[in-house]
Amino acid sequence: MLSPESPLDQVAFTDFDAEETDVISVRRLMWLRFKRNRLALIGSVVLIIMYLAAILAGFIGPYGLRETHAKFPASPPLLPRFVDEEDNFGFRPFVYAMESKVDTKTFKRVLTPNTEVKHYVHFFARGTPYTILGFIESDIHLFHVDEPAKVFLLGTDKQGRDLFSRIFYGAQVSLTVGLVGVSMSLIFGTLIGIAGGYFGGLFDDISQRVIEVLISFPQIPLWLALAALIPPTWSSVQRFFAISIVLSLVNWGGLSRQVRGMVYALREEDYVIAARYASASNWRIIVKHLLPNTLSHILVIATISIPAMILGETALSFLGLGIQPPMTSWGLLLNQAQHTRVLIQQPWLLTPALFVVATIISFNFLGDGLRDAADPFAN
Amino acid sequence: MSRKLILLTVLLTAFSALGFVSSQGMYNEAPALAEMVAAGELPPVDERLPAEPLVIEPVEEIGQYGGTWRLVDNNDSNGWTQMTIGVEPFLKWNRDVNGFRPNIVASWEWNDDATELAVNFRQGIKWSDGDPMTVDDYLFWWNDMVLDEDVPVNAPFGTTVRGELMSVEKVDDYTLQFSFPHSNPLFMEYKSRGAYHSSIHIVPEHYMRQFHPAYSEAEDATELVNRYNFGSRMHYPDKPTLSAWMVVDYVASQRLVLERNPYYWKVDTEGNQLPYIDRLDVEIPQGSATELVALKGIAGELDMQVRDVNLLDVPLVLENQEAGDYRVIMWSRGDYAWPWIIPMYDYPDEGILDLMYMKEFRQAMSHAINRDRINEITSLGLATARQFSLSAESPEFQTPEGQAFYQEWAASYASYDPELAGQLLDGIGVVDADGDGWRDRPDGAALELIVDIPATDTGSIDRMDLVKEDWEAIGLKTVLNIIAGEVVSARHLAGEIMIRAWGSAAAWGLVSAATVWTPIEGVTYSIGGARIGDYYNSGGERGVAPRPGSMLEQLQDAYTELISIVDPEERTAKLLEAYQIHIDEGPITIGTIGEHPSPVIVKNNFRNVQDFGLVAGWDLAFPGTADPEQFFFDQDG
Amino acid sequence: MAKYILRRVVAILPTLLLITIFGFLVMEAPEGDYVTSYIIREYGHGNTEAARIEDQLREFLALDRPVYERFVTWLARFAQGDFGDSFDLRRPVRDIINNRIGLTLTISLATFAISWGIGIPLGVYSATHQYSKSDNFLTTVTFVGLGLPDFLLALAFLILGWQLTGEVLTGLQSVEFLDQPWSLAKLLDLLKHMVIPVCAVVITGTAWVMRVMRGNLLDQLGKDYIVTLRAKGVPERVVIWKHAVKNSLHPLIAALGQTLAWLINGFTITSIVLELPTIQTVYLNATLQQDVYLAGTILILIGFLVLIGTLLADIILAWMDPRIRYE
Repeated sequence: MLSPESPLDQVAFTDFDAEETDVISVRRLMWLRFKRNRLALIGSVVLIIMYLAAILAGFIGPYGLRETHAKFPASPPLLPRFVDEEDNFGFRPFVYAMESKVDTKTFKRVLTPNTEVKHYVHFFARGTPYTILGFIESDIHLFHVDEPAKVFLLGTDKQGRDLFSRIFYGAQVSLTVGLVGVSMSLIFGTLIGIAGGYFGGLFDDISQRVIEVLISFPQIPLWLALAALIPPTWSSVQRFFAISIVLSLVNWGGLSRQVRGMVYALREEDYVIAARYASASNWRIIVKHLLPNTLSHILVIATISIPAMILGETALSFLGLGIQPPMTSWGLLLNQAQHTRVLIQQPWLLTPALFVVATIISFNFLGDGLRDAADPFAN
Repeated sequence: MSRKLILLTVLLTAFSALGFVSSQGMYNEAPALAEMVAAGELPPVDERLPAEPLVIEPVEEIGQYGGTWRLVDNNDSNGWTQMTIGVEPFLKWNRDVNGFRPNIVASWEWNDDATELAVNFRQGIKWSDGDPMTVDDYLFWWNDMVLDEDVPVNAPFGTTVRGELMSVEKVDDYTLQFSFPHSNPLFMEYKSRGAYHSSIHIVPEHYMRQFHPAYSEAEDATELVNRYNFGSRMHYPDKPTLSAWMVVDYVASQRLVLERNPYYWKVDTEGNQLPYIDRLDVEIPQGSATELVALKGIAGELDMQVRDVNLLDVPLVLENQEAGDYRVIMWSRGDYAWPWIIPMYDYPDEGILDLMYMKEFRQAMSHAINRDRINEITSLGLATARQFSLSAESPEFQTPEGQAFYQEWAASYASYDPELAGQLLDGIGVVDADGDGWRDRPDGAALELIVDIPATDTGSIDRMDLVKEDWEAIGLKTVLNIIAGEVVSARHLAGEIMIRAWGSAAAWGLVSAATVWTPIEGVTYSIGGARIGDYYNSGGERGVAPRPGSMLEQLQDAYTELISIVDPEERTAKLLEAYQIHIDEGPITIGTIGEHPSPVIVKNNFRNVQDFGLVAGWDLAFPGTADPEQFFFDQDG
Repeated sequence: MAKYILRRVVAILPTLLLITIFGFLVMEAPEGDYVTSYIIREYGHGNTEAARIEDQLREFLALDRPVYERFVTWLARFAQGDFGDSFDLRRPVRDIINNRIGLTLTISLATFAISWGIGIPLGVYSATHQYSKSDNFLTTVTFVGLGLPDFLLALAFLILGWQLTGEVLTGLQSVEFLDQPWSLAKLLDLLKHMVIPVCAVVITGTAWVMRVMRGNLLDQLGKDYIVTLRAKGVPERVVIWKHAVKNSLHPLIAALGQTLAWLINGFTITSIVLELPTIQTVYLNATLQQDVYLAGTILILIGFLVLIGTLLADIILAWMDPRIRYE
């Protein structure tokens, strides 16, 4: 199954000379290839927007993270409108103030618009104060309506908080803290897997036994023990950060075994043997040959692990180790949607799922694009 | 038709009519049981019932036999079904919980100073295997289980007075003579609340004996205790019971099936042996009971569901009433606070304790809370904003004076007045000394209120989240420590918690959970901290003493005096006096919103369900107290 | 190779012991023990007197003995086939596992077979049609599956099932069939109840297999030997399925250890939401309540499956790919 037409000198050319003689053109080639991949471009644009939105959450959302609207718990979306009650169309979006009452028979909240006054949506208007990145203080919001009118683009949660605003606050956690854990376990898994597969022998034996122990490890008691150790004054974000570090220390085994299996095969490939004959250092062989050849698998695992981490965070919340209110995250927002009444009567609470899906698809397309670009000579 | 045949028919009819009368006797029974009697598998109903069976008046009408009652019980190891529907105590709560009515015990008599008590059991009650129940079944529990060192069964509340055990003598098969070292006037009431305090104490001696190491070849008491504890007894369908339904099948964490007890000792007003309903089919969820209840409820797959109907699901449940062919009856939780905010007076930080013991500090915490907003957001506005003040249904509040007192207590320091709160804090020197925006302790140290809540108690978390906002609005920095329930309880018993928040059960002044208003037990729901209660309970051997002369000590002293007062009226008067400490020095523990309605889903053909019920709290044993044996399926409508 | 296998087989027992010791230590790590958690729960249910028998109960369950002593005693009995009793369920551990293992494996093997059965062909199709409309469509669909939390999916399927059939299909059997001998009707009832859990689990399972297959096959397709094979005129189907696919299976096979353990340790949340009578929910509760013999036995079972799985994986890898040599 080895190709007779892959002479050693050709390998030597691509691997040693190309880099030294033609650095710029390889980079250019990579960039050109990446640019050609439209989906990868879209993916990166979406991610940039997501991260910007997370940073600017206070500005984009019309309401604060903790701002509750006592009369509007679990309210359906209240959207700006262009057409008023008399069917007059105008270019300035506006909302009607809503009177909210619990119907004494159905116990449902009934919203009655007060159609006498139009509350226009103001852009770049002053509202709840917020801080960006912990030091820029402001109270300018992208859009805003004056009280008593409300604008809830995606409705509110059961506590009467604007879901649209909370989704971006949630992104601050879900797009950062969770990913640290994922990347750490990817790094551990990859390094130990490659080392185990490449060196074999005692190191491989020991790492394999450790992995076997880790895979069968009962995690709940570990979390219970840790939960008792965490100081009560830690915020849930700090807790979750600590937990995701521990999680990454426990969860690298699976990927490690997969990478190891691949490396066992790769190390017998001609170009690896050639590199060894050319007395390339072990480090160089690992970085130049083994890592690139396992990279696409690692990227696949990464894109699969990201949603698992974003959503899986809530699995620990019943032990108080996930994100807890008043902070929020996408996992928590979706966890709060886990009710029959939400699925039947309050579907707007499911919208955070769209953001999760959009994010992971973007990560995936970006990953695909990067992988293709990293291999510029491929077909 | 030949004459012979006619004659034969007439004769046969006459005989069967005679047979009908003789087997029917005074009482009627379910058709399935009648068949068994006819087949000789069961004695006739008159022989199975006591000479004077307990007569239960139906809530609406005389019922019909038959049907399977489907419900969800989220309480696997303790068997909520058994602890409520299956409870047969000495006395049973009245249906409106205002007092008690005879049940297994038919009558009783106290001596003047409440140290001697003669108790007469109802005669002729039989266990579900037909064996007669006598006082020996009680004595076996007392002598061979509680008093036997080798059997891990404890002497329950009320059987010891000031640390000394009671003694019991058998007078005859149906009469017991209790002797107490000191006055113990509330003994019968203690014995009549909830499963743990009453019905569990009467065990089938003839059955249990074979597992007792002293009377059998059993090596230890494992088998005996397994059959005794609620957590495991469902595994033994052969264990006789006095309940209306007996376990026939139990698959842990999945399903519990019960069938009528043919020897059940109650009848309706027309002499029909109860229960009306044939079977109970109880689903035990592994996950969220409220979601399963919501879904099965609206699908019409639950016949009567009392617990775990989430208040927030009410609009959903009501909307599907017609499609699911059920109705929704609003019972009450009977809670005095959800959340109930408990400052812990055993917290190991004197600076914090100084503040906790200062009534102005607690008043500020209470006035800062916008209770109406919490009600609006978390409870559809259906709860009542109020101070901690026990359950409104508690008997001492049922007189006009009691009612007036209750109103005053419930309203004390409950108004939303952040300005006043701020002034109170300023007055005791809790001000922002270092200019960081948060108030500090009078000694200048930073002040942070840490509230522990179990992560699974989302109801308390949602509500405390709003309280946190209110407290922070007046400059009190607040941290919610949301953490595994196991960890919270461990921290609680170890005295590591500053403030605890949770949903309260119903509580009565003296008969049920007195420790919520006066720290007398070392339990997690003891006011002021488990270790303060444990100090009282252990006579000062363990735990943490309340500060001398403090309101906590006053409450403990008042309780000691109260429980030995024999005259009920005098006792009530003194009780209200003790409560006055809560107003004068209050609030000692902080209430928010309470008296939440508790929706009950009932199929339209499921009848005889009363409109009143209090579901929070095991002691009240609803729906057991609403007499489930007279519930029935209307098979015509 | 034979020597290698022998060495690995010999290593199974000590590793299993290691797993058990570690597991036991971790289970003992949280403060308190089963009696503590029992008493706390009893409090919650109105039994305020439970604490009085705390010491008695501990002695009764032998929990007053030091950890190592209990561990060794239990392990010695375990070796003789007596797994001990569950503290909480007060029944022999063996019965509890026996009662659940059948249905657990039924459902997990079914989902496993379906995920792989669908995931591999879809992955191959996706890779061979990279960046085509259908590939992008499949990618999007899988990520929608991955982006929806399993607890939500399970509940959504349950509600959908109710709206379609008028029945809330929780659990794996209708009441009337519980504790009944197997019959055609019971089998059909089981199949009916299996649809929802299988769908809910298959969605994420398939996504995993498919993404891994696609990624690795793409790598293989870019390699020289594929070009050569194609140039030689080898039919495309043979190139793909016989050569490229075979070489892309490495990670899937390497994951066999986890896969086997997953059979009794995976989809816990779905099991809980859908009320499935599987081992995973028992395991979760046992670890939470420090019901150590029950949890310990399941742990050993899981550890055993992991060890067998990793060994099998290594053997299969070497057998499929002659380049792989273990020294």
